Amino acid sequence: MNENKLNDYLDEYAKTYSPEPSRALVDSIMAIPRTVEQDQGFHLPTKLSDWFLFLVPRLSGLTAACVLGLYMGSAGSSALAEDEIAEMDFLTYEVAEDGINLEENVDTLLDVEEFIFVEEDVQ
Amino acid sequence: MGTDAITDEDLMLRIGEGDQTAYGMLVDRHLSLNLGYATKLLGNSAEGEEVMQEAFIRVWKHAAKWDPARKTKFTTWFYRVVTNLCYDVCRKRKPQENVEILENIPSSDTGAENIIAVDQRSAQIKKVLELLPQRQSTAIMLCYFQGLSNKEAAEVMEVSLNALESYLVRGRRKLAEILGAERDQLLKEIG
Repeated sequence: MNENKLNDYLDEYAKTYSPEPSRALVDSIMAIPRTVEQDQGFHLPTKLSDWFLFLVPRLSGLTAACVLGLYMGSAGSSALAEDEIAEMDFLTYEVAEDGINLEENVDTLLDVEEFIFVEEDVQ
Repeated sequence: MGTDAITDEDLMLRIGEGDQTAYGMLVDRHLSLNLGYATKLLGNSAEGEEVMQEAFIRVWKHAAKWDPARKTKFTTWFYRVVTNLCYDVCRKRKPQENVEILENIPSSDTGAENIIAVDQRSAQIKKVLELLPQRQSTAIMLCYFQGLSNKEAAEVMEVSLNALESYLVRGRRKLAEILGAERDQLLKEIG
């Protein structure tokens, strides 16, 4: 098929399939402003006073967020320290002389020391 | 000052301020042409109407965000919106779904004897356009039916000018091949 013939066919097609908008469509499109809310646009302020009003609440928010972050960060590190202390209650103690290994907490160790002390007294 | 002197971009700025008259003017200018585009791209007038409704909702909603500093032409932006909405509709279609052939659309051809032949040829073109890859048929729609320049069509499709021209050449070649083959087949059957 040559180019001219193809162009003729395309023209015919364009004319045939060019529907006019129905009344219902026009009405529904024209009703959009009454039913749909517009998005608010974002524009940077142009005047110096506007910049002040634009920046103050944002900088305040940013500062508050930073302060809160620092506070939470320090609270988090103390919590970690407490965990580490708790682990120390379960250290392994070795009684070197008797070669006895104890994997108990500090209270148990004290009990054992007391027992040894009483035993020495008896002797 | 006549209404024609007001550009689409000015109307968008006014719409952004809530001006419903400006919105009405923009609808008058672009509804018919873009409805034809969406209908041809989708091959279905009901879906074309749905797309136009959604497109104008976007115009109204986003007009306040229209930034004249970007120097985007309204027609380019609007064609892009309509094209993307049409692509969305195509993606949502089930694979086996057959799109109804457009019917009851008044033909502007006045020659009564010729109407049937023209309608048949147009239905054939429609069928062949649907066989083309989406980008190729979009390029043909924009350049031949909507009268956009190659540069404008490339901007709408967000491709380079070379890519657009490639789509056009390949699309037209494929159209001519399929239509030529079908014509030969018909002539053989008659002969």
